[in-house]
Amino acid sequence: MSQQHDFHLMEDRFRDELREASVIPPIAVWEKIDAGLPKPVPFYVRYKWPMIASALIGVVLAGSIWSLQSNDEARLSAFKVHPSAFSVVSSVSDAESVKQYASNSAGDQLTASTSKRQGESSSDDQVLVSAASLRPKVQSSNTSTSSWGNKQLSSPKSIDQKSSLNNRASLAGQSVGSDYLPSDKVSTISDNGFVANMQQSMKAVSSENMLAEGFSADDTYRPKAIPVEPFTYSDDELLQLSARNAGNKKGHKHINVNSGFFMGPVFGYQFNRLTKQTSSPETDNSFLEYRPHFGSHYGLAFGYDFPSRWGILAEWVYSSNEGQRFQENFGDYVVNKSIELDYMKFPLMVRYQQAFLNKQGRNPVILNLMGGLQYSLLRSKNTFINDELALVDQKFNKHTWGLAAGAELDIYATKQLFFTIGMKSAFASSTSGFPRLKGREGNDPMSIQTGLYARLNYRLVPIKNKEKQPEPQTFGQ
Amino acid sequence: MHNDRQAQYQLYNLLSAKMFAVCLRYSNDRESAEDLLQEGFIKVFNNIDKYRGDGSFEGWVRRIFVNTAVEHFRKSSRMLPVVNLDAVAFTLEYEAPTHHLHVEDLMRFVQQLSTGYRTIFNLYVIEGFSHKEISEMLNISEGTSKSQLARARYLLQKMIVEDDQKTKTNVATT
Repeated sequence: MSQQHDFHLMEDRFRDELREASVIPPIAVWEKIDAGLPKPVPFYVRYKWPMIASALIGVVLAGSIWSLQSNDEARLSAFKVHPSAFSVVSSVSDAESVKQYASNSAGDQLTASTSKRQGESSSDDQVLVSAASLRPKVQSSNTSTSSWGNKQLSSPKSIDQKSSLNNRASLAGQSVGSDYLPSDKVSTISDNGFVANMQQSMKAVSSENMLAEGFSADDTYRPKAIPVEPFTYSDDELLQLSARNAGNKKGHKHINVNSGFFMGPVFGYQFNRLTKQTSSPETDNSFLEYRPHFGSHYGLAFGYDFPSRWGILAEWVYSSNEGQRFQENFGDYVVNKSIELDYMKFPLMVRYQQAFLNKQGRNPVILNLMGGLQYSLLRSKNTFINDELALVDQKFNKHTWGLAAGAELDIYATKQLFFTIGMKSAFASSTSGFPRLKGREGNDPMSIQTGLYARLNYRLVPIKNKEKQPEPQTFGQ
Repeated sequence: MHNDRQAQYQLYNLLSAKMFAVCLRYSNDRESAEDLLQEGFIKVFNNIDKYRGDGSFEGWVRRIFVNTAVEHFRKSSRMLPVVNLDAVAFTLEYEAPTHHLHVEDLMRFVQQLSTGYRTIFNLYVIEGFSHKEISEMLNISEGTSKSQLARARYLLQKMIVEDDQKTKTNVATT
């Protein structure tokens, strides 16, 4: 028998006996292993920063929603203005009748004070009862009646007696003189139904009309109102938003605010992850350890918001830095590997809006939920090993498809200009595998991105929206 | 499993005996084998989420231990120079029977080999790697791998013969 044959027999014997051999180790070995393993970390410590960030975002969002929703009621109340608040009487007797009217009304207390304008003769004595003096006390409940509060006028002026007669008629509630306060809807100041009627029928009251009706330049009884700034939302549009948020969905389904075409630059920062460790089938990198990879992206965004709550958003992300970092530990020798991919991305998403009123001003804050498709084109690929460019030929998908979803806040500075901050997640897969999550081999590479972004938007306000803005209304003419 | 100590201990109990045998084959003493076992299981638990499900889990764990042993060899050992196979006379006086040998004996023989011979013998004979794969793993030439294996075979055969002769002598004297 040849020696080689002997060796084979011997090797077979060794292989058969030793391959499946078992030898029980000492107990102390487990204790050493236990000491060498990382201690179990509670999830609230492991995910400390994501939990803190989520809690902060939740508190900010909840607080914003609560304050904005509670302010909607105040906004509605701000427009529940009794027409008598604008009235001017031209004689003392009229002033007395105002007092009488007020005292006969149940519920709210009105005060009427008279004063003379400086320089006027007694025959032309005009008693000006300002809206402020006629203002009822604002109550905290939802049934509180009108609050003047939010109108601020420039220098008021007096009117003649003729005009005042019209106003007195309106005071009695028999004839309105204006076309947006039907007399049958006018009731007592303290009537709760009045409030609801006012919500349905009231139109914007322009400050110019109040000026025309004559208010004294005397500061003691001149009512205050906020200035109507250019390029901000009109009272009517804000009221539409408030009413919609208050639940009048059918009545205000189509709203012309926040609609139209917009565009602007976008910049973001995201966390990236490649779900497959191997860059080529021949390479076994199963012992590589993941390391987090972050990258930035920038581009242009284009969108169109319809008068309903829906809108579309398309982006041209010129550069999106993605990839993955790995580490392999050989004991005292550590290899760091970094895959850097640069994609050009084209997301196309649908937006769904929920508008809120900004407590600080007159411009809304829009919360958008988004979802849609995304196409990516690989622009460049580089692999770094220990921070040095590695000349390796690695295969990555040049064309990928995927889905994207997110939420963003539009904060309006003016009607044309608004700032957006948002959060978006997306995943992409090879075109051969899409829409399957895994390819035929069950191992198609996928990439996932999650991150934050900011966008500065400019909206082109359509002409027809301007035409539909409410015209200034006048009282008593 | 990650950081679940109880689950890790159960897994250790299931596989520790087999893996310790693997470590003993690659080590020349129990202390070194215990160190190898400890290091191997720490690597298993730290990388357990990387198991893809392709192949048996025991095979995946065994591969980790083999790689760990090979790393130890790469760091601490130096290979013997390549020897011309034709110049080496691997001849023995007679055939060495192995049927009477137990696992402990075979293990002892393997442990008596030097580090280089032992590693290559384990990788080629027990684990089933080719000389090409061994040369890539150990960063040596194929010729070195072949010559070292031949040397390992010869030495093991010699140990078996000596052990057999010793057994016969003991039997004769009793």
